[in-house]
Amino acid sequence: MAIMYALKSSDNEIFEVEQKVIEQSETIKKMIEDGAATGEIPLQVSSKTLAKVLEWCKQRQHKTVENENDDNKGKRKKERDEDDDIKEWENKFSDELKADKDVLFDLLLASNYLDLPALLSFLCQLVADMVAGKMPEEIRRMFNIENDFTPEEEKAITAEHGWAFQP
Amino acid sequence: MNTVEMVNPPQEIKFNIFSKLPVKTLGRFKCVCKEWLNIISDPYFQRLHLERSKKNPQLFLLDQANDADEDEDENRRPQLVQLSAMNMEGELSYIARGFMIGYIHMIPSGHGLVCLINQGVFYIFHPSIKRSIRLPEVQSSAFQGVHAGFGYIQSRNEYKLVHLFDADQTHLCYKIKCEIITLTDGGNGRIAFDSWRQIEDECPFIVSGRGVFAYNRFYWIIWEACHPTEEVSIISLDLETETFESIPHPNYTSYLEDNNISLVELEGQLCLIDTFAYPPVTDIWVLTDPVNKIWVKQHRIDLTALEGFDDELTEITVHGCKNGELIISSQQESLDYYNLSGQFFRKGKNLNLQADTGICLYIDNFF
Repeated sequence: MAIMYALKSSDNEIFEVEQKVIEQSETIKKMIEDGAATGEIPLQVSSKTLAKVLEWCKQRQHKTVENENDDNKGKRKKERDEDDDIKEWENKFSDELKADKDVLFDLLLASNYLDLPALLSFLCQLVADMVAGKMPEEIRRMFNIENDFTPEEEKAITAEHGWAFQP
Repeated sequence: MNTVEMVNPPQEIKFNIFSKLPVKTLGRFKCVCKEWLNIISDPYFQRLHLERSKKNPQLFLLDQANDADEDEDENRRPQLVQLSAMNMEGELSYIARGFMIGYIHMIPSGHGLVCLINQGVFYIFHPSIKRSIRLPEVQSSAFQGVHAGFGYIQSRNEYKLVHLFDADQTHLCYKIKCEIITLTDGGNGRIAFDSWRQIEDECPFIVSGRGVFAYNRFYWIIWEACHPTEEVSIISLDLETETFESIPHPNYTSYLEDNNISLVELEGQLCLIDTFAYPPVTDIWVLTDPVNKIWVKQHRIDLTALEGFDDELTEITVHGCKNGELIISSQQESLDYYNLSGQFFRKGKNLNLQADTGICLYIDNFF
């Protein structure tokens, strides 16, 4: 029987999760090891975001278990098929996040807070791919950033980086 | 979640995202706001970005209509030259085209910069920011072709370019001198350099091809017509002592059977790539001990496993290594990847490589 933990989101929703799944989070693993995780574990993460975090963790857990049960026979082909499956799953996961940027950025913060390096790296790559090649003005709009350069400063800094603005 | 929080994730998340972006995008992002300018200019961030870039080398291709052998022809006309920068999957950063007179030689540095040599003039090209500079004039040389080497010294964050030239103008004998120039980071994509400086020591042999940099030394293969002995076929220049020294090649190489050997630096080590016509195999020797000059054979690659292999193939070029795979060109339109631990080939994307396309790897980098 798997050991279950109850995670409580910031908006007081309870998520029952297997220890193996949630231990991917270094933050929670440490809480469990320290004996601090009795009863409900309160997290500074919204229920919407926590659901996404768990979706990711369950997928990763699934993958690890399958690999442990592998024998060597035909392993390379099987790995390739699995890689394709994971790619497909990740693409779907990415598309959902791209469509809802609030969740994406919330998830980014949550993966940092929960110390999930694989998810953090995946999300950072996703954001990097979304912003690569964009112009400063597009970026300011996208992230609601104020241009705090004076017009003179902006002119100088843009001229200095003229090479970056070539097509 | 409100917008303010979204705009300001912790610094380490920004570092993480920015470190995955190309230098060109980062140049644009420096103009977004002061905070981003400071992050991207931060030396700690730039080191982080470099470490990530190193694992992900980029491709720089040179296509030209000019032929190296016709370089001395008097009646040359401008010919089309194309430079392209892309990632290993063939996604283009840019293509630059122009007309040039004369053949362009290309020397990779194993790092961010590439050296281009045209009609005896040395240029340094920075593929990440598509900018080039012209270096001061070099000494003229009595022998044909280009004998130079280009390398990057990480501990000093500088590049060294060495040029070997024949100072004897009589054509009856040779006197090979060496001049060195140092390139440093001038900040914001600018390259600073000192002047060419000749060293005392002379190179005792005529070399063939470009020098390869490893262990703070340049290594050349000695031109086959002037081997001192059957055992010695490589000469090195130590940048510390500024002296030349000859090095025996590994035992059992195919060299004397007129097969193909070349030198390449892989993960900081000097490797000798030795391809046999029969049986069709490539041996990879590593100079594991540069002081005592000890070679160790680390890999033997069965070329018949290469897709598109035929008996005519006696020349493969190893350009570098990525994620445990050798990056190889074998006169085909795509690159091949050889998995060293699994010992199998994987075909890369079709890049429309021509037989004479100049191929070099570079690291996307601020300098």
